[in-house]
Amino acid sequence: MKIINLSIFNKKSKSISAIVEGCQQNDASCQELLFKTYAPKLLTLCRRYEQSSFGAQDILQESFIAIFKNIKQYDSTKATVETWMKKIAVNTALKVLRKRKVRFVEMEEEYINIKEDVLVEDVEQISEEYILEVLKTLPLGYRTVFNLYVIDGVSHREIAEALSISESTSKSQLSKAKKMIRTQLKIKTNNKKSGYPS
Amino acid sequence: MFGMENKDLHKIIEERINDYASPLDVDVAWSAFGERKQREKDRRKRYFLLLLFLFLLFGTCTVFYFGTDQVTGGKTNAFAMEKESGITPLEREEKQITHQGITDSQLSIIDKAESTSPLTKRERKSEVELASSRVTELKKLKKLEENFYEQQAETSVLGTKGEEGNKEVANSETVTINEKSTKITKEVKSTLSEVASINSKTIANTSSSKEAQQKFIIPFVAQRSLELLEKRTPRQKLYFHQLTKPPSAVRTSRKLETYVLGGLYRSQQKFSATKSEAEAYQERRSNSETNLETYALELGINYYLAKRSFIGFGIHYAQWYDRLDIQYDRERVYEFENVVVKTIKRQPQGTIDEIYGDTTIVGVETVLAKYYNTYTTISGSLIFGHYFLQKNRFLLGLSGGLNYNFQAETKGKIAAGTGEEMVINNDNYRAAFGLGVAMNIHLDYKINARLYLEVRPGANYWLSSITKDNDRLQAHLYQFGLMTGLKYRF
Repeated sequence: MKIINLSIFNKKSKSISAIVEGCQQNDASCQELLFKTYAPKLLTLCRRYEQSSFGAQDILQESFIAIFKNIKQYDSTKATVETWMKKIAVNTALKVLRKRKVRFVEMEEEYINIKEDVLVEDVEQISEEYILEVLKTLPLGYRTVFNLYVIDGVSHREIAEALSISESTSKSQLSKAKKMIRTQLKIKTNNKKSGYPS
Repeated sequence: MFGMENKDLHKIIEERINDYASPLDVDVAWSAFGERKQREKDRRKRYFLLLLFLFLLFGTCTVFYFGTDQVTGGKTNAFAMEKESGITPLEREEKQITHQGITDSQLSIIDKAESTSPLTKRERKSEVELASSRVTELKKLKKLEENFYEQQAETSVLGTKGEEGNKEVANSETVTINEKSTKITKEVKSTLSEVASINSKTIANTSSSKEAQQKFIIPFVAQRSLELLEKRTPRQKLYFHQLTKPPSAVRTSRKLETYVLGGLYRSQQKFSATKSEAEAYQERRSNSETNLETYALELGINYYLAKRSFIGFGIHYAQWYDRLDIQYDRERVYEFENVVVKTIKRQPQGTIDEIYGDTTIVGVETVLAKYYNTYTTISGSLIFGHYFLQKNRFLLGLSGGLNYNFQAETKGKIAAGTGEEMVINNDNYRAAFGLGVAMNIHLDYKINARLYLEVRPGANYWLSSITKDNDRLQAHLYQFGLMTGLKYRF
């Protein structure tokens, strides 16, 4: 089960629903408010899928174009506005990736086959920015499957359909992505222990 | 030391990342979003205008085609007449024959005469039957004459082939044909006179408008045909067909043509961008890619909506080349705790494979090299064209329309001075054409009735950027080129 931070809604539940209603009526000031409220979070999502910062911002803009275009179809009884917006952003990112014809390449075993353990406390000390950077180092195919499955909660079957690959390819890409992430995190935690600046 | 399971690790990553808000200047981002929205709006407006233009162009062609009565040369408005009377297709055909010689006022006189006919029903029936049999006879003669002209046309083509043997055959054929021609002419004259006589007697004696249409057609046609038969020269024989009935062989054939063209284009780029890096990027690239050589091949089909206006569909294959002198970091060596990691820097395309972690660069190898890029594109085109000038065997026309690129591939390689080559994958760099507009001049030379040699200078402008990566300048190509090839009319 995914944990959704509802802090924004707890504080501004009324105003958020008012903003959404305003957006549904094409109110520019409400659109601005919605954008400014959720853009940083959605940018994180876009950065997970897109390596370059310009590309991520481009996906963010495209996502908001789709959000404002389709906001009349948003049903607050089915999902929170944040979940709905994230879903649109994921779809937009996938659309961009499909245009690029993502190739699911196999990495050399000697590079990914490093089995090292990482401690929970070590990981908790690593910044989110570093985790994002680690995700960026993954090949595009690995990164996409990891993002979809682990963070966005999409099943292998849905991933296979969305990326036109087989379920087994999706699973193998995920497994290799996980190995690579562990390797990268191991380097980082070791650095910390040895006093190497991070 | 306790290791942690993958599941836990990834759950932590999910929790940490899912709600993380990236640092972002929302005011700047909102402003950039506003610009992007404006661009989208402009783009939609452009597409809408293009669609409108195409719709109007299509409408104009349709009006041009249907609005002009090709059979009569625009003397009468057959379609307006049909609309008024609500006649059937068969009646329409008869009426088309009628209006070769009858004006609207003459038709109304005939209708009036019909209503005051003094003949009995039996008399009218017998007159109608007689006239009908003559009409059948006349139709047979027309068919005979039509076959004769086809025969004659084939022989004349044979006669112009240039070989002496063929000429002799053609001459002997011509003698036979002339004899046939005289015979047919006499028969036609005799029948037409007879039919004219019958109809002049019955002109005021019919009661139904259908009968009137069937019969009163004939005297006028006969009169006009007889006049022409008196005056005509051998080449004018075809006019008889055109007056009596639109000859189907002429009207329905040669509406389709296929063409194969090959040629060269030279392309220039027009840059546009709003990104902050745009200026620097333009400076870096401006001296290197102003000209792209293009080799193109095009196959297509034109369909003639009217005698001189056509709509064309084509498939256009092109290969583009550029050759650049570049300097790049071929190799950087990173080291971390006795682990050496190598990565190739692909600076020419601007995409850099970063190595993360706390590594140290221990060596950089920079080389001068040649950078080769080949772009392959396949586009579909939809054009409307019109030939507005025809003199002897030469035709001059203009066409315009849309191109849509649906396949693109970029291949690049870097060749260092040592002869070493590295294939690079720069999919994101280029070849993302979408919609373009095209304008061509058609200079045709008619080799024979079906075969044409075409020289086609043309210009294209790509509305969509050829650069796929949004980090880069958006480059729109405008191209000038010359294509040449053959067209064959079916």
